[in-house]
Formats: sequence, structure tokens, C-alpha cells
Amino acid sequence: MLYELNMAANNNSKTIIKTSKVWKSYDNGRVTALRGIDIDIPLGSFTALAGPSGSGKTTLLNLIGALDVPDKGTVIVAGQNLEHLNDRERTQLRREKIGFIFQQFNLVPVLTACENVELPLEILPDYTRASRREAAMSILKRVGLKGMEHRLPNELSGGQQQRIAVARALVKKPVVMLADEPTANLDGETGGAIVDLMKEMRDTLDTVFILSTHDPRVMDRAETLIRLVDGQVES
Amino acid sequence: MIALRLAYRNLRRNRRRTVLTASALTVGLIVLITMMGMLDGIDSQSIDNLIYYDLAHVKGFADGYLDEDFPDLEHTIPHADSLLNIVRNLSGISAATERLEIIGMLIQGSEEVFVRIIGVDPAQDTDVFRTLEAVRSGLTISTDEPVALIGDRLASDLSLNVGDVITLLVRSAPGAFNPKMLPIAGIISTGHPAVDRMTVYVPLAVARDMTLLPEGATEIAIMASKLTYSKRLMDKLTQILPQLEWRSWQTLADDFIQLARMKRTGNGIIIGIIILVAAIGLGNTMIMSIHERTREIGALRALGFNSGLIWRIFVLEGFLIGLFAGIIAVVIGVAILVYLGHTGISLAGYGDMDIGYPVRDAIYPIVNVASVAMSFVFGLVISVLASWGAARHAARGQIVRALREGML
Amino acid sequence: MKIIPIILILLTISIILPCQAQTAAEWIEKLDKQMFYQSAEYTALMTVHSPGGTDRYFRMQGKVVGDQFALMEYLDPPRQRGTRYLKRDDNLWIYFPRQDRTMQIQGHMLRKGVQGGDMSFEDMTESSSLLEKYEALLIGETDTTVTIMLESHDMTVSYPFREILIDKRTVIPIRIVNSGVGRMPIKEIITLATKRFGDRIYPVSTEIRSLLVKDKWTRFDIEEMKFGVNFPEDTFTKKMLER
Repeated sequence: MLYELNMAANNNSKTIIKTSKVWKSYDNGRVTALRGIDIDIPLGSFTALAGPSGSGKTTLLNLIGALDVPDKGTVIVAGQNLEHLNDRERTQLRREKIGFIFQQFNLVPVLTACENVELPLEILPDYTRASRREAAMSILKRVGLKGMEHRLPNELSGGQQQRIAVARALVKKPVVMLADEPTANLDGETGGAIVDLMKEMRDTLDTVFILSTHDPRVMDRAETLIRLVDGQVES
Repeated sequence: MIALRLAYRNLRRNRRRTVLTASALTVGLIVLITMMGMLDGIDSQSIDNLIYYDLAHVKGFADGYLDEDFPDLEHTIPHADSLLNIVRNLSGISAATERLEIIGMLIQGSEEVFVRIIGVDPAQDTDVFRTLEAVRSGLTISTDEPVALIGDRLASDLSLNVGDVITLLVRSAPGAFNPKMLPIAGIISTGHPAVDRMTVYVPLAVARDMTLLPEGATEIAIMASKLTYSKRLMDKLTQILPQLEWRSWQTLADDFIQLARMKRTGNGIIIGIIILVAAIGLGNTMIMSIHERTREIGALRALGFNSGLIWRIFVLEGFLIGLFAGIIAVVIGVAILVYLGHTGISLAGYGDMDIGYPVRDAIYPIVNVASVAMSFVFGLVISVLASWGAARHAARGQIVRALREGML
Repeated sequence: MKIIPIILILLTISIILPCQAQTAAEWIEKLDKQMFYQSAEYTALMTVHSPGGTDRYFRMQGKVVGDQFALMEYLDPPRQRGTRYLKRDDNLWIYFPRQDRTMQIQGHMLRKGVQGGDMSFEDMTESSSLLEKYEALLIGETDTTVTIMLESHDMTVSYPFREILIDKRTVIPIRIVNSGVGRMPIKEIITLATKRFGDRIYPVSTEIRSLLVKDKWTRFDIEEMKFGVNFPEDTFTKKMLER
């Protein structure tokens, strides 16, 4: 395995994400995004996927997040080989174990901050209206948005919106958190703060964070850095 | 019900678009509800006119009478009075009377027109028909005194007034001509064009004298106790008086019923097209809405919303538009119907033209709950169907593409 | 007498006879007998006058043998041209050239007026003797005329009462008034003009006038007439009707 280690905090814990010889191409094979990726990511790590545009960062995140399937190779997430899952099972995996944060936040514009955060819980069993609200309020408080819970996304700044996105991704306590360029639409300071927030969250929750980025401040804060170039892990 | 909440919020957020889309559907549904109400009104008026001025609930005829194109004195009921007594004592019958119908000429000065001359028994006819009560000027027929009642249209066509003497030229049943001169006692206006335009009523005794059929009648007309036609009553009549051919008003009014059905279908097609256009608009709005929200759809799928749930959100949006349009359309449509039911829609513009229905002067639409409900449900179904395809498209899109390119 | 088949009337022969008849029945018998002819061929113009002054004209050509057979064809107006009527005893058929269709006139259709006029199809086909169905009463007599009232107790006849004014000299009906069951006059038939053909005088212009409808009448004017014509055997067949 050729990846650069910035020394993970809990390196000794077991692998939560493992890919082996993963290939993925688009446009009927004309564009090859990934060329035999092998990575192991242990539980509790805070990993950055770095690389220039088109290097395959997002593609890899999509495969790990069970949003897409590889052409070749194996992706194992939280003990499940995604190859063996059908669409319904992949949806369930995402619903229960994976949290997403997007570059463009992708909040639901018609829902308030609080409702956006509650959204992942709406489709999980065992949550009542009250328990959803309680969980959402608690995480909003932790991302520093107390008092803003009734605002609509367009009434909030970019940083605040991304905090909501973080809260929405974390509220269900996922095993894997995937963030695709989470700071790209934010100014440097806000971006840094968001990464710090995510790191803080990682510390209190038992979660793996994988962030794709080409923002050096993010890379600096990452504990593990995987560099992708032309769909391959840079040696 | 996150799907319902999302659907509702999205509609509220794009308020103008929602209102515009719903408006097209609302207009279509208002037209549908109004048309249904008009047709319901015209049907109900027609049925009333047919039953109370012409057909009663059930009629009995002499064998062979119905095979002729015209009322025919070769097939009359010879001893109608005694048969009538039997009928009247049957259970399930509220009233019965006999009538003698002759086709003849009404002659006045240099005018002569074909008329139906109907001999009515003044003592019994009003129990079954409303004709004798429809006198607008002059007096009705109340005795065997030789007088005539004529329809107001006929009177105005021939410039006849109460007191004028008309000549009725008929052939008696055996064949000899038997003209009669009768003063007009009264002019009736029933709202049934055929009655008002071409019918002359005379006492039964006079009609029998004209036809040389002292106890004859061409029909025994019955009002059933229950308003609806019952097969049991028909069976009973056929069993007890098999010498007569019994017909329900529905059978006798077959032409009208066919026409009513045809008009409904015809108008339905036109309105169907209006609503189809509205539905296409609605489908379009849904497609637009989906295109705008592609990334959102991708994000929801990434969060673990399954495709069924996505589909449901968009179908619910269509459903809510239909619901909204339907409620507004019902309120406005019913208000229009109530108003028009009160004022009536004048047929004066049609003049003496036959609109094909046994009604004249004005149409009074009615609010038929079943028709309104049907239109409402129709609106909902159309809305759901119109959004169905778009919703399926939304649900089946690739998540990765939706997120990356904003395209499904 | 065949009062009504009007066409027949028009073609009927009557011989000038001395006024030796006595009873009403004898007068009618004489009329009956004298209206009979072996055969004739004619061209006539029928004018149907409707109240209000509109006249419609129909020109026709006919062939007649006794009271059994008649074949008539419209020559004018163009719309009617070629329409033919065939009478064989009591049966009547019409042939419509445009549709190439033949229809037998029966039942209530027989009672309709020809071309909306006052002569019905029934009138055209009636061929039994008047005395079979009517009783004759002499109700008036002058030097030149005699008035006979025909009364029927058989209500299947169209007119139970018929009053006939006969010219004693020519034995031609000058005026016939037909009345209904209650003796109410319905129609009158008037001979407007006669013409001498050889040794006989015939009515050549006859008018049927409604006595109920004001200003409604139908007139027949014979334009040409030939008696004693020998028609080919198949003249009065359906084949010739549809030729």
C-alpha cells in the first residue's frame, strides 16, 4: 500500500474501510477515474483524499459511500462487501452507517435548520418526533448553531449552512463520514473552522472521517493523507 | 410523513408556479363541474318533463300499437275503463289514468298543422300528469265539455287566443273523417317543447267521439308509488294484464337517454382535452421542479431516502396541486351552479330551435354531489397521473450524476 | 261513379242523355256507368295552391284502362320528373327514378295528400261503385240540375256524407261536397270547364277545394286527351313502372 502517513491517532484499531484493486471508468470506458485503488482506513481516522481535479477523489468517495459501484475490485465498508449489496441494501447502508457532507451543502431549502438536521432520522426507525427534535437540537448546539434552528438555509451564511450539513450528517451517528470538498465553497477561515469542527466531532463520536480536498489547510489538519493522481494512489 | 411535508413545503415555496399550474387545472375542473351540473340539470328537467307531461312512469299499450311509427287507431285498448280499474287497485301504483292520442290536423283560417290530439280524463289525469295544471291563461279541462287546451308555442305560432275556435280534423278509427270545432279553453305552458309546440288536449269523451271509440284509449299511464322504475312492477303488470304491452319511461325515452349519453360523451371529450392540456402543464411543472432540485434529490438519496420515497414526494406534489385545484374548482363550480340554478340559463337565444332535449326557455343547472365528487376525484387522478412519469424519472436517476452534474 | 280518383274523373266519359232519370239511385247509377271508359291517355297540369298564394305546378302524363289500371308519370317539375305511379286494382306503387326504388303505398300512407294537395293516394285507388257503400237520396231538383245526398253507415269510407249536384243534361257532377261523420263539410270538388270530345262532353278542369282550410285548393287541367287507346299488354306492370 502506497500512501503517505501523517500518523493516525488510533492506528492500531481495526480497518473500517478497505478497497482492493478498485477500478472505475465513465463514459463507456473513455474516462478512467480509478485505476486499481487499494486503501485501508482504520476506525477513528481522519483522512484526507488529496489530489488535483479529476484525480478520482470524488469517485472514490462515491464508491465508499455506496452511491456507485466499481467496475472491478472490492469495497468493504463496516464489514460489508458492497459488491454483494443490491440497491435497496446499499440505500439502507447509507441510511444507517454513512454520513455525507457536500461541497454545495445540498441542504433542503424548504426545511429549517432543525428540520434539515432531523431529516436522516425521519427515515430511521425508533425515532419519535420528540427524540428526533432532541437529537437535532443537541447536535445543532454542538456545531454552534443554537438559536438558529428555525432559520431556513438561505437565511444563513455559507459557513453556517455547512455546519448544518455537518450536523445533518452526524445526527444519526454514522460509522463513516464522507465529505466531498467540504471547504471549497467557504472562505479560508470558515473552512478551517469547519474542519476543526469535524475533527472535534470525530473525537467525541466513534466515526471515521474521509475528506476529499485540495485545500492545504484541510490537508494540514488531516491525520492521514492519501494523494491521488490520475486515479492512482501516489507513491 | 416527511414526503408529504416536503411536497407541501415545495409547493409553498414556489407559490406562483404552484398557483399558475393549479389554475389551469382549476379552470378545467370548473368547466367540468359546470358542464356536469348543466347536464345534470337538463337531464333532471328533461326527465321531469318527460315523466310528468308525457310518459308517466309506466305505460300500457294495445298489442301492436308500438310497432307503428305514429299513434295508430288500429291498435287501441277497447275497454280501457275496466282495465284501468284493475290497474288502479294494484299495490305499488299511486295513480293511473287513460289517454287517447290521435294524430290530426289543427286548422285555423288558412293555417293547418299536424298536432297530437290527446284525450284526457279530467277526473284522473291530474293524479298522473301535470299537464292540466300547466294552464297559463284561460281555464283547464275539468269536465267533458267540448273544449281544447293548446300549447303556448302552438298558440303563438298560429296567433290563437283563449276563446278562439279551432277545427281539429281527424280520421275516426274506422277511417271516416271526423272534424270537430272546439273553443280554446286555455293555453298551457309545460316546458316540454313537444307538448307546447304540437299538442292539443281535449276531454277524453270528445276524443272518443272523434275516433268513434266509445270506451277506447291508446294508453294506460301509471305513476308508481316509488319514484324509481321497478322491474317488479313491470312484471306484475305484465302478469295481471298480459293483453297490454307495458313500457317504462326509460324504454319510451330511449331516444332521449341515448342523446343525453351522447352529449355527455361529446362534452366530456372537449373538457377532457382542456384538462389534458392542464395535466400536461402540471406534468411540465413537475419536470421543471425536478430539474431544479436534482442535487437535492441526489443528496436525499445519499442520506438514505429510497427511490420509492423520492417518487412519493413528487407524486404527492402533483396530488396536492390536484387537491388544491379541486377544492377551489369545487367551491367556484358549485357557486356558479347555485347561481345559475337560481337564475337559469336562458335558451331564448336558440329561439324555437330544437336543442334535442325535452326542455325549453331555460336550463337550471343543479349540484349533483356525485357529479361534483366525480369531477374532484377526476382532477386528483389526472394530477397524480400527470406527475407520475416525472416522479418516476426523479426516483430512478443516478445519484452520482445528480450530485455531480445536477442531472438525472 | 268514380268521383275520386280525380284523374279518373277527369278522364271520365259522360254522355249527354235526356233527363229521364227518376230516383237518386238511378242518377248515381247513371253517373257510375257514364264515368266508365275503356281506355284513355292524357296530359294534365296539376296546380297545388297553398294558403298565402304559393302555387306549385306538376305536369303529368297518364294512361288509364277502366277503373283497374292506371300508370302516371310526372313530366315536370324537374325534381319530380320520371316519378311514376302504378295502380292495379286497389294497389298503388310509386317508383322514384333517382333512388331507383319502388315503394308500395299502403296503410296510413294512403291517406296522405299527393304532393301536399287535397287529393289523397286513397282517392286515387278507390274503385268500387258508390252505391255499394252509400245510400242515395234526392234532396233537390231544378230544371237543369239534380242534387243527390249520399249517406254511408259504413264508417270506413273517408266521407260518410257526399252531396252531389249533377247537370241533368250532361250528367256531369257540377259540384260535390264531401263531409265528415258529423256532416261537417270538408272538401268540395267543382267542375270548372268541360270539353266536347267527339260526341261526348268531359270535364277538363276540376278543382278540389278545402272547406276547412281557407284558400287551399288543387286544380287539374287536362291539356290533351285521347280515348280508346290500345295499350300494349305489359303497360300496367311493375316492369314498366321501373323501366
